[in-house]
Amino acid sequence: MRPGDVLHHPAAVLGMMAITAAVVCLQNIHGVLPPGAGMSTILFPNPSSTAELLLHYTVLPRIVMALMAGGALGLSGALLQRILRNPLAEPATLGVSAGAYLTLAIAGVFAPFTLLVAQTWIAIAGAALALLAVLGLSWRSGLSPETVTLSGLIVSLYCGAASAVLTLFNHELLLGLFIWGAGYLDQQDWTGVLFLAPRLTCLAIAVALILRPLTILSLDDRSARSLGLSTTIFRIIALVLATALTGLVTAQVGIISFIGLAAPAIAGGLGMRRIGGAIVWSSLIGALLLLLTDQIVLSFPVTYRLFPVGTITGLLAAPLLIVMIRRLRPTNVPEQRARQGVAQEWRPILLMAALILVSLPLFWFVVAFGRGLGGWELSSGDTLLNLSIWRLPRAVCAFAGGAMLALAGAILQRMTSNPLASPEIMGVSSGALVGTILFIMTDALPTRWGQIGAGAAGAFIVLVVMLILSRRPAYGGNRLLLLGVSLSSISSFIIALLMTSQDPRLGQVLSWLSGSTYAVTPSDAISSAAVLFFGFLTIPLIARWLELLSLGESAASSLGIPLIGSRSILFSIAAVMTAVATTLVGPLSFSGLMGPHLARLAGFRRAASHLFSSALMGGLILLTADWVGRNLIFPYQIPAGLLATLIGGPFLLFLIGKKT
Amino acid sequence: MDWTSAQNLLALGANVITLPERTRYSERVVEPEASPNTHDLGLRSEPNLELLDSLAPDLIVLHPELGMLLPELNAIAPAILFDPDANDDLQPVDRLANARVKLERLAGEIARPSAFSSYINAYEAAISEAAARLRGYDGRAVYIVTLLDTRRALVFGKNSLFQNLFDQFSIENAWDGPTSFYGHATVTIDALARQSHARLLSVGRESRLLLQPALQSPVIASLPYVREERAVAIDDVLFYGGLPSAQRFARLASFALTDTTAP
Repeated sequence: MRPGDVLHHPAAVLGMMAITAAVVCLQNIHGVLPPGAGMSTILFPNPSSTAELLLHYTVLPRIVMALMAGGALGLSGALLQRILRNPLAEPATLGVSAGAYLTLAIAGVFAPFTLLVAQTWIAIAGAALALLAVLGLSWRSGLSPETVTLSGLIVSLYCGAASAVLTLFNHELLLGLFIWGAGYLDQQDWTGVLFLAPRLTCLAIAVALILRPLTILSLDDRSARSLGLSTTIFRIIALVLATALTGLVTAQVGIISFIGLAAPAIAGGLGMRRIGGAIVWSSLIGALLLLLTDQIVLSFPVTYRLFPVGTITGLLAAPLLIVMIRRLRPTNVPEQRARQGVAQEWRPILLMAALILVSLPLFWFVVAFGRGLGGWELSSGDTLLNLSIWRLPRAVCAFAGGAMLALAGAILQRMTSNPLASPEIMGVSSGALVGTILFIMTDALPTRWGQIGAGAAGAFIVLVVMLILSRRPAYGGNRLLLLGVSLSSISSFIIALLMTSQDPRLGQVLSWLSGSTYAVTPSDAISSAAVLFFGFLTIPLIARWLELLSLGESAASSLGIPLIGSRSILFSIAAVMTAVATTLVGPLSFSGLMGPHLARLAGFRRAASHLFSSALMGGLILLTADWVGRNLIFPYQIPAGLLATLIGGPFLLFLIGKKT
Repeated sequence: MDWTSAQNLLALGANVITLPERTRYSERVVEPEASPNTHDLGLRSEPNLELLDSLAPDLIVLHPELGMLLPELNAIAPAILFDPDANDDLQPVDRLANARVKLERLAGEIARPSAFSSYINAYEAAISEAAARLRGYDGRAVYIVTLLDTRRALVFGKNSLFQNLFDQFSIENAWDGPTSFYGHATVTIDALARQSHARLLSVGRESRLLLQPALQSPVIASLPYVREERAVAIDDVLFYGGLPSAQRFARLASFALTDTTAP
């Protein structure tokens, strides 16, 4: 062992984290401790001294809570990544946090008083329902890792969209929920700790009991089955345990992102590859990571309470993770081979013609038909002209935005061979989002062009970072996606911060975030159509690369494809599409995921026809969604992006369930 | 186009034909009351422009936060910006003086200068009524909060409309910590322990519901103002609504703090 290796030993890293955390804790305790009071007052406070009570009932439980929550999240993340064999898996991937959030939002709007009595149980019920949905959806595929991850992500998106609709219409009622969602660890007494401690201990013991079967499971299905293990049963047990851990913690302290993703990744990066070691170390790392982050936040002067620890973990852990990704061993995600459907190629052509034929009359319909002062009206002549000033730009932008995101999604999915790839996961939408939000919040009179400019600048910065990193061999394929997820956590931090500040400008940002075409102008419509057209033009140029790249990197380079060059160009196209779509119609990431999958399910397999049909599908989805959103509860308008998710989600799930 | 504009226009007696989230306006802003045949314009963040166009208004008044809609709105009818909180380099911010200047300007723009003077008379009367009611007040400092859940609250301090009113009534605000642009901060409730002899004034309906459970946490329960039951609650007041909001707050708070009820 070289001397340098000692520093990389997990115990050394953990020790350093522990010492730092302890120092910061003591400093914070010292800050609150009344002068002259001994350490004994921590445990036995004088009931009439508010300062001593403060220490005993707020500072201490907070430390214990951080350790417990972090440990549970790290443990749950490590379990999930093993079962799903996907380094991107984290508690949120299963829809657990989103499910809890949705049930709390429903309770908050329709029966606020129940939150006072049973907030924890409502959240846990939501988490459990989300898990049931995921298991139900992936049952037919024998709970294969890919299907579980995909269903989890879609359930998560779906719950997210449903909560967003509730939030949009009731954001005064849900202020407490925003704060819970941001993840604060502060405590006012010991009830939270006493509630979690016995439950988490039981779950940890249960995990220890299934460690051996899990080790075998992590080989692969066939060898596990030949050893006489029922893969399905153990997978379900492990999933349930992981969900219970996350569900309990989430219910108590809110959504704390990233610990579940970062802790196992760090443990892996430190060389913990055997499942037992990985699980123990990632719970220890998770616990210390959360405690350290929380105590550092706490030691900030005065304004500290503005920063929710749940989101700041993401911010602090992101750079750490980016370093660790390099040291990760290649994961065993099986590369998806592009199946060549040469024999049936005439059928997709007919389908494509049908898609194009449907599009044009649909444009006329969404503009001419709709609700007005006097109810449903099919307008023509002058009224149609008048209305088209309001309706046509929205229709065009919705179509173009959906199509661009779907195109970007199709490129990314083919490039990375990861069915979860979408513009949002790449981090580009997040860049655009942060740019635009900062602009809206800092400028007194935000103009449309300023917003687009700021958004494009944000997207471009992320794009450049991703391009530079993608040139380095250490960041290929899945790792690049992992990077994108890290970058997204920064934008979720900013949004969560905004939500808790109760700024009156919140409503505007919220509706933009949910993918509304409300604010588009005719010139936006023209420019977005132009960019989409440019995107279509590039399809024939990049189709060959995509076909060959999907055969695998070595095969592609032996066929004479410049790996780095082609990847840079493909990424640039996807990023430009995403940036424009995001700044115009909000981060409608669902169409970026849905369009390509629908196109594939419809039988488009070759790169060129797949890209083109993905874009058409994505565009049509949003065009329809925009129309429905404008008319469903007139004069209130539901953003197209949200509606596409609400309506399209179950449809997509149905198709996936049928296909697998 | 927004509640603040609607509230101030209604105070001037203007004929407001449409405002967003009509039902919720009646619950949250309450006064001045909108006429029953006012059209609902949809969400506050996205007022329905198509509907607005078909209503053919004479004038559109909007808060600058919707300012990016100006070009579209001007195509429908003349549109003007209204923001009672925009301060013309006044330091420290005096929201009441500001709101007064802005309201007078608004009255000029809708060609109803006399409406302004009669509104101001009513406003002054309401404020002095509240001041008279508060004359017997025991002088304790007050925390003005909106509870967000059982552990956290928005607390109003420097910079807020409520602070300006309290200054006028010479009541000390117990929260002297930092606040945002609109004069509030999000805190955990243990932060409300610093001035243990204060009072607590909770604003808003959800907050009223959350008050009792929040006060049961050990740290807060140990405070004299909880033990001696000096925590009171009032209904919603828009905290960025200018003079009409101030008037409502003054009346509700003066009743609550002196333990009297509105007739």
